[in-house]
Amino acid sequence: MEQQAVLTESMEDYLISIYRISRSGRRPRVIDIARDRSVSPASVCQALRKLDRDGLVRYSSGRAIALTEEGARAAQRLASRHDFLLFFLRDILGVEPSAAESDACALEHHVSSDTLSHLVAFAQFTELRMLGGAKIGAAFRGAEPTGCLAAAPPGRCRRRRGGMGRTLSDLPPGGRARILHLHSDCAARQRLAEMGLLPGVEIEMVRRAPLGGPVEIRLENRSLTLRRREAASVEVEEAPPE
Amino acid sequence: MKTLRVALAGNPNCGKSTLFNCMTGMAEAEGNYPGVTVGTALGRVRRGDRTLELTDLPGMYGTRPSSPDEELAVKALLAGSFDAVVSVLDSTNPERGLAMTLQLLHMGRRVVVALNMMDEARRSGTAPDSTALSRLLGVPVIETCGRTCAGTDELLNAVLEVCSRNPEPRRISFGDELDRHLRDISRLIPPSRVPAAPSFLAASLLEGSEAAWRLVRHSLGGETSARVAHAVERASKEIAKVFGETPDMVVTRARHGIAMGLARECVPGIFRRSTGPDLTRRIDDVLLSRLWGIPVFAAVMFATFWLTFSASAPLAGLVGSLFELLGGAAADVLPPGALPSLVRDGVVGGVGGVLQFLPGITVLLLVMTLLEDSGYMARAAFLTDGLMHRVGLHGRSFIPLLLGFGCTVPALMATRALDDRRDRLATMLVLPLMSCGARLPVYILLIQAFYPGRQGAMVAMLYAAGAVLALMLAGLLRRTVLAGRDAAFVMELPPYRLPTLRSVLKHVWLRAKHYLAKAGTVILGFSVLLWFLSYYPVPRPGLDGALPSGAQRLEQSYAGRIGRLLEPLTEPLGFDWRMNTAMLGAMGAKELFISQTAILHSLEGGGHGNIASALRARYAPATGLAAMFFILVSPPCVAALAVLRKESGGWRWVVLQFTLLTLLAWLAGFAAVNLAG
Repeated sequence: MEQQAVLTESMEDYLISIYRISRSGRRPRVIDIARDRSVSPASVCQALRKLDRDGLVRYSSGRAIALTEEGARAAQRLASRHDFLLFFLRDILGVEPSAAESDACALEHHVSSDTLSHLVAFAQFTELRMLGGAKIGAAFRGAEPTGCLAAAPPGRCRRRRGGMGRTLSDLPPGGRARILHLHSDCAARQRLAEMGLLPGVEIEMVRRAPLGGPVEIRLENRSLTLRRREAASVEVEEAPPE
Repeated sequence: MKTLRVALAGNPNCGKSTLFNCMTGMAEAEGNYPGVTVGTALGRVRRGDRTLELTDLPGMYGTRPSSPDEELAVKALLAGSFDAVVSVLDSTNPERGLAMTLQLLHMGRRVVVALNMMDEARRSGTAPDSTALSRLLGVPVIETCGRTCAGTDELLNAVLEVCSRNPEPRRISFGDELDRHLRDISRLIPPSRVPAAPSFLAASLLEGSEAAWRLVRHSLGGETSARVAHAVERASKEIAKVFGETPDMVVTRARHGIAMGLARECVPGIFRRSTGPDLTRRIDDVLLSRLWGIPVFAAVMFATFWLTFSASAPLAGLVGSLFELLGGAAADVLPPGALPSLVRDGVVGGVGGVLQFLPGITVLLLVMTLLEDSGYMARAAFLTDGLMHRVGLHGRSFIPLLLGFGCTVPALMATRALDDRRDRLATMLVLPLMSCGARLPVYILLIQAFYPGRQGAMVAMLYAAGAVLALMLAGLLRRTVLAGRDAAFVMELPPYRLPTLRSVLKHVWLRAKHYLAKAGTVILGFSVLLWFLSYYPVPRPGLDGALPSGAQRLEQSYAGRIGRLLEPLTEPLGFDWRMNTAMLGAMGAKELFISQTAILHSLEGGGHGNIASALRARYAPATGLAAMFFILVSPPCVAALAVLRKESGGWRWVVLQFTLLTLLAWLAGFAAVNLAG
């Protein structure tokens, strides 16, 4: 635990990032980490040097980046913390998935291991105890069903701003893309969906308004406008030009 | 025979309101205040022995409300408050509208589909086949054209026809997996106890619709609705597991898929739809470009401003002098006493005041309707939203605020372009801070008296201070009294269209009429009240029999007494009772400050120079500055208050504005005294 005391929030995020990339079977490269965390490669190098000094990562020019045994343990602990907190917020409390995701990202750095163990105990308790025929957790969430209860796609901790890979707001005027996922909160997401911004739909970025104003996009044969923040919540992948 | 209630529902920009105007003709149609009553307009049509009451619902994309007025509309639809619903589709683009038609059918409403804007669709060779659509949907589909009003008769006949039948909820298949969950949930909802089809409610609950949830809880009670909630919960989890997506997205996507499928089957030319840049796109490439966007917008604004305030000025001036003559004539004819004074200053002055605004308002309404109907208004919002969003307002607030520099009254009416009630109220409440034209002569007088030779700088400073204060106050209001989620700026940029004469004229005519009827009476009432305050009580002639002078009369009137009463409060600003009474008089119209000051200082018919020197002799320059700021920030004239009352739908907003601006004016004056002193 003492190791964690010296790690800053952002160092912890780097550690998890490296951990996840290596777990997916790839060899972590500076550029991958930078993309995953939405930061510049220069800051990644700086962070890696620091982690190397702390003995958590092996990083020297010419050699592959790898976690030390100690680093891997710390990362695993952090990752399981994240997964539990996400599960607790989203599935036990019924917090809206995108909020649960970002709150889990914030909590994982600060919650003490004592609190965490109590939360784990409570989660087990709600799954076991019954209340009027339903499990306590379910009875609590059943108080008000929301369409946003279920899972968002498996998430990773990212910088607060943007960060989910390419978004609509990154698209240059004239660029075409296909919508992958809507990350906005419930109400905004449904509004976008009702207007036709659904995963799989192809869109074209037409223009941006001056002074950081909204963007105009084209889908099917209609023009829609949305604010940049809303556009930044739409994850897209590039589509081949027509 | 019972009146049939019929709603018009459809996407924004599907020509719904034009069609509504066709159906109701020039007949009386009540413009509604959004967020207070269902729909944006109400009209009656007689058809044989039946009366149809048509409600024009706000433009929506589905049954998920995103603003207070949409919320009311959805609630009314869910509760089955309408005998039939006309689902208006844009024929050039029917898919999106069809998604909503499907929801109405699923809900179990009697539906007639209007394929609107058929002329445009035919021209581009992508006209939907109405017979095929009617066969697939199982409801009448009528081809209409709002521009020429073609198909209106057939539409009304079809509405009457469906109303004679029993409504029958349509079964809609969303695919096996979803259908199974919908069945599981809807089994728990007894159809006889809810006003909408259980299957539709089940789908809405899966989508997380609060309106549907409220309805279920309300009509089924705690125990049953808890069971429903539990089923929804379980289904949500399973759906998420199977589809890897939240249930709301799954349901929306399924419905969208059905709508797409319908469109593919009924629109023969759908694959021939051009995807290349059309005329609208080419126009926008200029009008919204980095280079031309702002200059064109500025030019449009300048033209609007000029037309509203300068082009109508001669007419307004004519009305003003006409009423002055009339007042003079009345005073000559009538015997001396209270009555002629009331007629001259109260009634004729009041009616003149009302009518004086009319030319400007008519021109403004005309320009605004043209901008809105042509599609440029949405573009203006697009261009200015970056700036306005920073202070918590919407791009559509920009034009009203700018018009506020001319006159607050028409600017208040221009806030109708704002769909979100909170945005609109915030804009209306801060509008008086945009220094109106009537304040300029007052500034000039005060500057002449206290800061001669610095006119340009001082006037510019006052205007800028007002605008900055307005934006700051709007931001504050949107975070406190009017806090709430920002209206999502997801909107469609409609294709450019030529406005129809009928629609424009009807709009202008109805609005102008309502201004006269509603605001006019309140303005008149206020002017009579102000006249009363400054006329009564009538002082007795002095011992020597001399009639009291104007100044003495005003001093002893209620207005003068109120001025004196307020002296302790305004003392920190350096105001005496004369200044207070003049400020009170300025409530009638800001420029009245000048004539009131002239009377109070016993300057019969003195020019500006005289008044200025009288002011200079009596007050310190710091007080002059305080007076300027007080005029800038203090509540607007009674006409603006009356229009605010009408446009906001309640006195409480008038009271709020009055209190807020009075306090703020005092603070601004106090700050000015201390800064200058």
